[in-house]
Amino acid sequence: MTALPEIVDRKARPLWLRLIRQPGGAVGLTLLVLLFLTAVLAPIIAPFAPTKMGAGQPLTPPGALHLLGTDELGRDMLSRLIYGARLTLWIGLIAVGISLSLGTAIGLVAAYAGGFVEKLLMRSNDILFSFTETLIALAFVAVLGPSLTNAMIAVGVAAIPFFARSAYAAALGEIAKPYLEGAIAAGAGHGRLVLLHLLPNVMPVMIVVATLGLSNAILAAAALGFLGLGAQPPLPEWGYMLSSGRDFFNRAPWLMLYPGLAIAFTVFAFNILGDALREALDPRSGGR
Amino acid sequence: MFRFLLQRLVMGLMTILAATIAVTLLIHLVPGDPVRIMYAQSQGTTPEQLEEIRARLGLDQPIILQYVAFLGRLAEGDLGTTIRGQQPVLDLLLVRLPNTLLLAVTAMAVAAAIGIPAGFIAAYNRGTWIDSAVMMGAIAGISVPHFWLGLLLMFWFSVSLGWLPVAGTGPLSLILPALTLGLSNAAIMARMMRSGMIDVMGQDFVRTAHAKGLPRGIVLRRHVMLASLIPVVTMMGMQFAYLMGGAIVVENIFAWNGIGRLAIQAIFQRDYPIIQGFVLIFAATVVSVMFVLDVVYALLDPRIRRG
Amino acid sequence: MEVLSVNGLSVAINNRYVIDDLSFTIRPGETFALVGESGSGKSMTALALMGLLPQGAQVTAGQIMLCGQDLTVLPPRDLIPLRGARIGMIFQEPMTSLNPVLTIGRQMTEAIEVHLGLGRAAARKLAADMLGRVDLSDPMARLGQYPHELSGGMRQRVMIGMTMVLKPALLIADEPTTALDVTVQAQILNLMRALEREMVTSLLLITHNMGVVAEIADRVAVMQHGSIVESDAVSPLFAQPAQPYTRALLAAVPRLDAPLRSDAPTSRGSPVLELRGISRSFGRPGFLRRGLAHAALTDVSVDLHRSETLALVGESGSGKSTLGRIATRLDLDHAGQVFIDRQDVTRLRGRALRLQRAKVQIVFQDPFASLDPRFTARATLSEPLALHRGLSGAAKRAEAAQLMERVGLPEAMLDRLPHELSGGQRQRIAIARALAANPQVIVADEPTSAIDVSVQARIIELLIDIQKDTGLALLFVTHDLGLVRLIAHRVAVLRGGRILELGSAAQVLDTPQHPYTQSLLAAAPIPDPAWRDRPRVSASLSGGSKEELHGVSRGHWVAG
Repeated sequence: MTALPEIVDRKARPLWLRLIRQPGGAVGLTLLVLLFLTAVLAPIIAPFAPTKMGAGQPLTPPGALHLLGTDELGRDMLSRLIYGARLTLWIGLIAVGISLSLGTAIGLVAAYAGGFVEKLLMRSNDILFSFTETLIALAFVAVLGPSLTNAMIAVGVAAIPFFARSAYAAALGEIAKPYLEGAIAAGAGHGRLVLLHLLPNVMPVMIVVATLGLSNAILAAAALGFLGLGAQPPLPEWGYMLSSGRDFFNRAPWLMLYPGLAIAFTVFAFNILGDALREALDPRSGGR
Repeated sequence: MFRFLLQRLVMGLMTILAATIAVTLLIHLVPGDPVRIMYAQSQGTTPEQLEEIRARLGLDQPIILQYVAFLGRLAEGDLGTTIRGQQPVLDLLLVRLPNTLLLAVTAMAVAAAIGIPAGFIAAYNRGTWIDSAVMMGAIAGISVPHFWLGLLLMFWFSVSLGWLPVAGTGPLSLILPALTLGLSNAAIMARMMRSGMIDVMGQDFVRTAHAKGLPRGIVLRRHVMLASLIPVVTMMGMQFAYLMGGAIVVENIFAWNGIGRLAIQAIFQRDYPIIQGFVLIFAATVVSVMFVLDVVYALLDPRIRRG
Repeated sequence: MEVLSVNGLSVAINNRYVIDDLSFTIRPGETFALVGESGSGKSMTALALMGLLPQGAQVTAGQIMLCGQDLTVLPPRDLIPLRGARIGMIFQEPMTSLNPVLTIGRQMTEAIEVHLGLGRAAARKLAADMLGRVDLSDPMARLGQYPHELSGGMRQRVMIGMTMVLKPALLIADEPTTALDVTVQAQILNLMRALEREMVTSLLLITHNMGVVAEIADRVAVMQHGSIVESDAVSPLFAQPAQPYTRALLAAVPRLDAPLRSDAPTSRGSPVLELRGISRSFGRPGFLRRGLAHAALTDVSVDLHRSETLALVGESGSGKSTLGRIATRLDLDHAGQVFIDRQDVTRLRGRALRLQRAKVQIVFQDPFASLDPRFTARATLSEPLALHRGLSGAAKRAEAAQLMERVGLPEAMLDRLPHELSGGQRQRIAIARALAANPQVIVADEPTSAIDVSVQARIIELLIDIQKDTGLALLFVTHDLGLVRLIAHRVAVLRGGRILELGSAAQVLDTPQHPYTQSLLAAAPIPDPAWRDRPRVSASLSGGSKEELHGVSRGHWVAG
């Protein structure tokens, strides 16, 4: 016992490195960084103001002046898409913020408290689950009225059951391990146990859930926008753009194609990033 | 087994009960005066008429009484009447419900027909290019917004090629909506099937089967497939709920005459009685189908069947 | 001709050798034991022999000759008919080794149909016969049952029957009894011995338990780091081990004839921990819930004094762990009273309870799961130091360093995370955490079961050391009777939630009075082949343990 024994575990490489080594991780991360930059730098890189009607002739095909053409009111598509990225990310982050914070809280409290509280919370959660996210979001918007803010909240709240269930399952897994009891024996109280022990160990799972949840939220928000129940015109929300482009498909297919592609790529990026995260956090390498 | 089913039944009933409560509260969560909002578009309504409507809907009563009255009416099959034509909500919904169910079930069949074999092939060839290809396809599938896919399919098959009708509710009109919903869901099913199968294939009893010298085919069919079937049933339950949700949007695109389409119209018209009825019927449908799947699950799994 | 001849076998996973130039032979009808600790490569050897290596592992050199046929050169397709028919394998976990959705009968007949070409009816008859041979009651009924309807021991019998019915030339058993209670273990080992003699099958036994080896092996090979360190017939190996590793392995196994603790506890005085009339049941029946309530403990009372070690001995389900947790106040939902230092703490909650917690600490069985994976060792120790002793800053750091020294770890290890430490090191940290609160009692719940044998002894020594130094009282929960001899002053034997026998170590272990204690002692594997054919007390393991304790001699109590 004199010399310091070797570090036994070779999996001590930091998370970032493990993530990048996955092909999905590298690609997803790159795409998202690009998206993020696009959103942040929108005022700088967008050639026109997104709501400027008559920036060009209406329904101009993609060309030199308007790289992605113009819509029926003469607004530049490229600019609208770029600003739309901002909206999309914003919606996604707020919605997931709501789902993540409330869902994790519910799941953790349910798992930790046990007994009646657990049953009450989780059964209620199951009931909400049965309503399906679409229905909850719709009901929300139906009641509060269509708007960007309401869509964000609706999508966020609708996803709470899923986040709560994931947090609950992860927390149960941790509670089965004795280290929490070790902390209790060491004098830890409820607050310390939940915030310092349980939460950090549940976070890796929740990060994966949140990443995949972002892709879901963006799709859901786009669906609401498509139905006209989300961001209202003239906001350049991709779902709404897709819906309004529908009427002009024969003359100007780009109005419908580009927003759809934008949504697809964004969701795709979050999905492969989420998958890569899941692989990186749960190394099943080396057999059993 | 019966204990399990009883538990699930009680949960289902409680869900429907919760739906009734939610539905009653719905109107009261509206910011502002719901009655005025509902009739905002019909110009000639006098304040007295609004009062009369308010009384008729029972909105001036305390909430508990409203709820009890609601339950009472529900027991008689009365879900109220619409704002516009004073038609009974229940009838409107029930006429359209079979269409939505048809759409959802057909879409599920499509999704299962594509997704389950795809997931199986991916899991069986785990780690090879086949696996990666299938999984890439699946991720692409879930990334494509289903409403976009629907529009693209419609424009291609209906408008350009003219093979299929654009809208309507006949058997030919079923194809595109079902395909739209089904393809999106197939991707999800493929992923879940794959991870479920990989789980099962890593189980000890599969190792035992190999150790017994059973040919690969038998191990696969008898051990892996059968054991995978059970989680598949659970998955189908979740997918059905998901499909019902997706149907709402797809019905809109293809003007498929189901309850989803009605609901969206109602939302725009602020026709709250329809919205309430819709929420209730939707929840009841989902719960019922999931219960049926619970029964199937209980029959399949000997651990539950024999307790 | 030898049944199995392995020559120079090497297996690598991702360019790392897990089996390195391995050679051994097995003769017909012989029981050959391959012994080693975790990571020695013994299980991997079994998988290599079966051709069931995991993805990423491959044979890089050597031959595997099974009855003269080289398995390493056969294409995978040709290995399939050999598996099961000529070489069979049973695994460690009977719980998960059987398919839960197929009947026992189906799982047995499928192998018979495939290999012996029999029809369904004939296969069923053969299967039922075999189930009878492995001592399962009512074989025909068993065929229609599902795995979840049988106990662990019964499932393992099914596994044995399933493989032996094909009459393979070689049966590989990978830790076949590790997951079973010791009384069942003895039965299964006897069964395997008998069958093997009857059917002239060779047995390759893979295990880490030297006691099991001594019970049934003819020849032994000791593995370490992927190669064989020593190999010999069983008696010479046990009597005169040549290699230091073998000697260390043998020395580390607690023996039932080892000397008891010679030191008496330094002070008697008043008890530091008293448990009175403890009853605990789980699973209240209710509408929509599982029917029966399960009584884990019924009216149990024990005392513990300073500097004393009381061992709670029992098999799984005896309630010993539950009692330990109640003593530590981790389980508060019980009847009866708990006194710490003469003070009734039963009803205490919240702050008042937390103050008492410092006095009774616990060390868990699984060293990995008992430490927060995100806390460094320092953080783990800081918790009790700050919360129980109110230390901070320099004083806390100094104390942490002292604790590390006390448990024999270098101070630099404080900044390591659990996954950067070995099992033994983690357990030492867990002990340090328990000591940090300056407790009067430590409850040790199977603290060495999840650690390699070679390290176990040192952990036990550490605990005894600390006890002698500080007058710490130890409540030692275990199922290992050999360990009990080393560490206990007094012993309580539990079964089905009741104490069946209680007394000093000498009284209970050398002169056991209760039939259950006697059968436990008789069933425990003795790591000495000379004792192999000792008479076993036929375990009359029925008999309600509903009797009261009555005194047999001074301090020695027996139920009945």
